[in-house]
Amino acid sequence: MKLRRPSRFQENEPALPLINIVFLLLIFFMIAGVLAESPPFPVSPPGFEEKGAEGETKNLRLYVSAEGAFALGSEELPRAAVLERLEATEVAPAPLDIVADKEADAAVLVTLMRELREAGQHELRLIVQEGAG
Amino acid sequence: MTASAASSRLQIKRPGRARARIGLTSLIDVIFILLIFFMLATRFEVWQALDVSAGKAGAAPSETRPLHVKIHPGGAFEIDGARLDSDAFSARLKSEDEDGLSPVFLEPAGGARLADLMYGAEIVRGAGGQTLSFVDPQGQENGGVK
Repeated sequence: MKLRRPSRFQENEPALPLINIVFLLLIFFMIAGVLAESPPFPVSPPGFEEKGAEGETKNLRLYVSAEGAFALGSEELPRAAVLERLEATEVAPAPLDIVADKEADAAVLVTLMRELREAGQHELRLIVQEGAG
Repeated sequence: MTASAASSRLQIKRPGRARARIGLTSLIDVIFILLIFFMLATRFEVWQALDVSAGKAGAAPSETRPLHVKIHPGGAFEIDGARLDSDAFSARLKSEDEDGLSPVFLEPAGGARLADLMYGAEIVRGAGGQTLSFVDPQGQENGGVK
């Protein structure tokens, strides 16, 4: 049995399969990923086995890079300015999400948590990645 | 409209096939740009939040003596000056479990990364129901994983 080839289509529109695939890729990226606020430096949170609370919230985020740089939202700030800003803006009743790189110094972070609490920020959440670290 | 009428009067105004091809190209361009935007702007990691708020100020202090654990880089744990690996640490926590749950204080030593601290927290959570707190080198409790 001989199958008929859709030769006319291919001759006229060689770009059609390309568009189809690009469309599929576009839809995949739109659905599978999370469109997120991007910090001024790359941050990769540590893994944690246990399930945590929902991490994709509108809470204010404090980013800490592996080198110890700080950013509040998408604005990079020195450490003292971060604490000053948090004290001044009174975000205290809302939780603050700390997004720290897994290579960040742990002692610095634990000290930072104490300073944040002293600055009136009582609800702190640490962002982790799903799955074992 | 007949073909002859079209050729005599309207041919100049109809770019016909060429125009259709341009429309398709710009569509592909826009889709490509959207694709690149989504590829760069999306993140595939699933982020979750752990509550690390400090314990309530009025909370009753635990009756049992806290187990103070120093966390060294690379998965080494120090209890009362003795260095333990992760298995020994886990076993030690389970043996503590039998004579009452003592709270565990995790203190990162110099050079410990956040990943080391979270690894320690994972072991403590896996070993039993101990209360877990993070302690900074000044010895102040800073809340743990709830």
